[in-house]
Amino acid sequence: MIVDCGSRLRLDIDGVFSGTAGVADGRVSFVPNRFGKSPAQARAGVLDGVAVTLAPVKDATGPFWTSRYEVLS
Amino acid sequence: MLPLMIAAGVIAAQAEPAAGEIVASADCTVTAVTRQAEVAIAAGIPQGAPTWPQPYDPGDHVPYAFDFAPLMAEDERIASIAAIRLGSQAAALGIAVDQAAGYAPTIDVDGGRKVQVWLLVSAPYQGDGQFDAGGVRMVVTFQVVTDALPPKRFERSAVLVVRQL
Repeated sequence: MIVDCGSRLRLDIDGVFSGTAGVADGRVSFVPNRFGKSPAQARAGVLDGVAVTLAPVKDATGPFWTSRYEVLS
Repeated sequence: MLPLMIAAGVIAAQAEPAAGEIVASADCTVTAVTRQAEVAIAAGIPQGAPTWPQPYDPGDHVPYAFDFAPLMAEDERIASIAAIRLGSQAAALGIAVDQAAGYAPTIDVDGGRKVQVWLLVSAPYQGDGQFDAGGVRMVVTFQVVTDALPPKRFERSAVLVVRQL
C-alpha cells in the first residue's frame, strides 16, 4: 500500500507567490502572498529550484490556487 | 534515513493495511456513487466526487471511511488497498494519513467493502488561518483491489472540508 501525503516545496512565482507550497500528484497548491499580478496570469515559476510551467486556477470555495505543473527542460 | 525521507515527502510511505472494525460514524462515512456527476468542485478534485457529511476540525483525530459497496458485486470484498493519496491542498497545510499502530488504514473486517483512514494535521498548522470560516476542501483518493476473479481495481476520490468547528 502506498500512502502519499504529498510534500511541501519552495515555490516562487514572480509577483504572485514566494514561499512553501503543497505538491501532490503533479499539482501544486498555494495561497498568493505577492500582489504584483493576478495569479491567473502566472504561466511559469520555480518549484524546488526547477523551472516549471503553471496555469493556476482558483478554488471556488477556498483560498488556494491550484495548478498542474510541468518541468521545463 | 527512510522515516526522514518519508516525513519530508521525498518518497511515499508503504505499509500493508490491516483488516479491522470500521469505527467511523455515519457522518464520517462517504459512499461511492455509480454515476458520478460532471460537477466541478475545485481545481485538482475530480468532478462530482462525493463529500463527507462531517467537516474535519484540524485539531481532531477521528476516522473517516469510504464505502465502495455500490461498485461491487454482492459476494465481492476488498482484498487490498493499493494506494491512498492526498491532494496538494492537504500537503500545503500539513495534513497527513496517520499510520501509527492502531490508526493505520483499515479494510472493514465485517463486510469487506469499506476502508478507513485516520487523518491528522501537524500541530504547527492546526491554527492556520486557512482553516477559518469556510476552510479548505481537500481530496482523498483511494485505490483498492477486490477479490473478484479476475480482480477489479477501483480508484475513487472523496472531498473533505477541513475547517475550525
